[in-house]
Amino acid sequence: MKGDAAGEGASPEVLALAKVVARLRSEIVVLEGVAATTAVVERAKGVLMAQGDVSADTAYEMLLGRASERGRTLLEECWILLGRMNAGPPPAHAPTAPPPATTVSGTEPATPAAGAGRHLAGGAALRPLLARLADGLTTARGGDDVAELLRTVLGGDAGVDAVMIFSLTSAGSLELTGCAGTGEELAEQWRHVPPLSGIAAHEAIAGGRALWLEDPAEDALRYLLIADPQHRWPSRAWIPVPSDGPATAAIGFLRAQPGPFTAATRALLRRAARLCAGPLGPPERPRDAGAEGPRDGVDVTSVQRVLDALAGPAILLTPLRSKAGEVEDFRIDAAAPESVDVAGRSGKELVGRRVLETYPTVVGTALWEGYLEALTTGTGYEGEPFTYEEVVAGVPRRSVYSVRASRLGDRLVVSWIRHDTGEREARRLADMQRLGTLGWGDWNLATGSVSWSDQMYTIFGRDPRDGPMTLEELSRHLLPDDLPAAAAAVERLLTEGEAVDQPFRIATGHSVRHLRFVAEAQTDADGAPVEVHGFFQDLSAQRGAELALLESERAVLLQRGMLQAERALAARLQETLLPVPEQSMELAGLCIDVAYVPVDRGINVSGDWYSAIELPDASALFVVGDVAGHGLAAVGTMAQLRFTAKGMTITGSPLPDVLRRLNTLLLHTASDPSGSTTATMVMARYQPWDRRLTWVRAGHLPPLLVRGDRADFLEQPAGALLGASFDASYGQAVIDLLPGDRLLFYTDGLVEEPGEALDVGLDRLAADTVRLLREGRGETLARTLAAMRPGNRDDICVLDILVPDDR
Amino acid sequence: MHTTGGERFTVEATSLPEATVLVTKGELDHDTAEPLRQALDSVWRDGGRLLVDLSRLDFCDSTGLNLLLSGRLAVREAGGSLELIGLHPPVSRMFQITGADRLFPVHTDLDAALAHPRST
Repeated sequence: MKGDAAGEGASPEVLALAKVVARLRSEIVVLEGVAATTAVVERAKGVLMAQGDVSADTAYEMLLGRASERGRTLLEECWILLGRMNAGPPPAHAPTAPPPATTVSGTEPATPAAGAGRHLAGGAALRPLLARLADGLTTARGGDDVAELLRTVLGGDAGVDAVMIFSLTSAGSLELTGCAGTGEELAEQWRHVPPLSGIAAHEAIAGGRALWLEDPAEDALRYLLIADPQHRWPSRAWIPVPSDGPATAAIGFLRAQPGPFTAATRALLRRAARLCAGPLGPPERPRDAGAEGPRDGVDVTSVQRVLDALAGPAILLTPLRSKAGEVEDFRIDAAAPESVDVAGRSGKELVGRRVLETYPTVVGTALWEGYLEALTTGTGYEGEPFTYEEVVAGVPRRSVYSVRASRLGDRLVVSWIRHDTGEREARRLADMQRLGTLGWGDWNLATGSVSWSDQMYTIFGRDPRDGPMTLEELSRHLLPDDLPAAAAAVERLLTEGEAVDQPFRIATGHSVRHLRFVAEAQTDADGAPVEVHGFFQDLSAQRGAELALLESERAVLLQRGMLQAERALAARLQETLLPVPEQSMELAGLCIDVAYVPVDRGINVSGDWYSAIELPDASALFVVGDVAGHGLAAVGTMAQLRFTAKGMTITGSPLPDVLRRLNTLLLHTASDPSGSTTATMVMARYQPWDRRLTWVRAGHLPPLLVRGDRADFLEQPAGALLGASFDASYGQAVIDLLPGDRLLFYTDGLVEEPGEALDVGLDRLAADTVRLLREGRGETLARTLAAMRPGNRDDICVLDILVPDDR
Repeated sequence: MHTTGGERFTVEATSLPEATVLVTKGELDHDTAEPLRQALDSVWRDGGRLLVDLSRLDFCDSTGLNLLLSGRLAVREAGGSLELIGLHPPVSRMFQITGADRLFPVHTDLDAALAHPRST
């Protein structure tokens, strides 16, 4: 049978109903209590109404009146009234008049005057006890409940250690109908007492008088005593229970302390017995668990006794059938003490509960079907483990069970195993050991025995068949460097009992492991250590990670050092290759300003370059160039071009010749045809004496001339970019500059924007330049223009040449 | 063969009996140029007619130009030719300023290029 109970995937409706049932159940319990109380009061009212021929309200008032007069609770008063009703015909009194208070007490059942009394000095102390008793009696079911109640309530003040209730059977023998505190064995012994003489209970019943057994020695001669009074219950009281006609039951109060019963105690015990007349008397037969069930010869009390002896959980289920005979529910009529349900109710708390009422989600499950089948066919049911979900006060709980059920008469004996707890604990422990790579060990120093957990073998890389290692053997595996510190720690542990928390390394066959040893020593009375227990933790993984981290840290620092060195080198390189003046400089009567912004800030140089040098004849040479590409590769080419150009012009070569030479240079420096580089360039020579500027260009963008308030691009002489073709010719142009003129040479990084036509960028440059000059920012023109470019898309180089005003 | 320079630049090569066509698309600059370099590298030795379609190029900087120029030289040395298709703004302006437009045979489209006999 598949054990998938309603708990797994029970529909929402079922769960909702389950919640409703749980709530109603608790309400029922409350109402049952109220109902029980009300029933007693109503019956007492009924009695008074009949006796005194009064109305219900009057009867209620009478009860309240009497109770307050006597200082009793309402319930007590009712019980007493009902008990007295069993004691005999009501005394003759005027039907219309409510019985006077004194008459009430006067009609007490015949008790010997031996007991001093009813209204005592200690009387006030009895009240609360009797009130408690009365309350408890409303819900007492059966002799055992009454006995237990008596024992609990009277235990402290009256010293009652055990209670036994005997009833007289028609055959004249005694039957133990209730007991508490005697233990099973004794109760069994005295379950049936044949009509012998010398039984105190018997005498009390027969004589209708209370018997006070206060002298163990003397009593032993007269009576056949229950248990040895020397050791248990040196004093006992047997009080007959008042009932209609002669007494048929007696309550034995067995005390653990010796000595006579005080008057107060006697009164208390008598009154307690009187109160119990109600529940124990004939009209108040305790609800017998077997009475409502099937007449199948199964003695529920016997079954309960069997279950009481069991170690595990087991219950007796009685089927509750509809009129048609169908099983509607099961009632738990007996339960082994270790039976615990999902909500934690155990043993006796389960008795009386109905299965579907208490565990509604069981209906329709394989379990339920299994019960029904076991009941009808008589074959035992063994279910698969299943998860059960119960809702208690709105809180769902789940547990895993395996259940067995077999038929007994017309009932079921059900036993189960709950899988979780022990298993879960064991699993948790194993997981913890494994995950934390922890192993524990015990070393008994006295006997020399050692025990290890499984994980220890894993940690030490040891075959479990070799058994555990002693502390001494362990020390041999330590790395020599770690031995002194570890040995010292263990020494402290063994001599001073100081706890150890020591990291160390061991060599296991093929590897070195980092372990941590945490241990304590247990000492004997003299403080000498007798046992060491502790755990080893394998920290190799963590340690490994730590070391790796340190390594990488070192590597990073090293790299950072290298980068810093590179940077320093790059800066020096740039200074050497292409010194960029911080401020504007003066050259051949002109004011020169440079802006240089390479893309690759790290290297500080790029394929862009400029030259502004004075030639031997006092003229000035201006160059702006742009080698294709970025980075160090372009720098090398740039350096070549720059120095070659400088060299040639200093020696007086005409400008177009210089370009031709540079073109050839580029074409020939490539390692293979596909690796050649190109460059653009604009080069000018300025003669300060006539302000004539002669210039050439190779594929470069047109210079910008600002004259007055206009900015125009110069018309360019012919000349394709360098390194493109072997066939190259270059033209030359001339312009005469005027004071106040400004000339800008620049590279394409200043104007080029992807997605934008080049001319747009050029126009923007012209406009920005005019604007900036109008705003009086001419001194930082080059830098400002360069800074206005967004991002670093390309290297930028700007050369700003100003012809100063004469004035 | 189809290589990409990320999303910004792609080169698609097609082999025709009369020529190999490289269709460029997107922005050709220093960062995206690698596919073109590889494409040129794999064909220049063949020495045949190499047609580079620039009609779908949005941008070309000096790196791109340099590649084409050096490709041109290499192809010529191997006995072939490198010609351009669809050179128009914005790319054309740069070719014009640098004077590179004079260095390549330029055709309006593929058909025109194929119709025209091979030039050097």
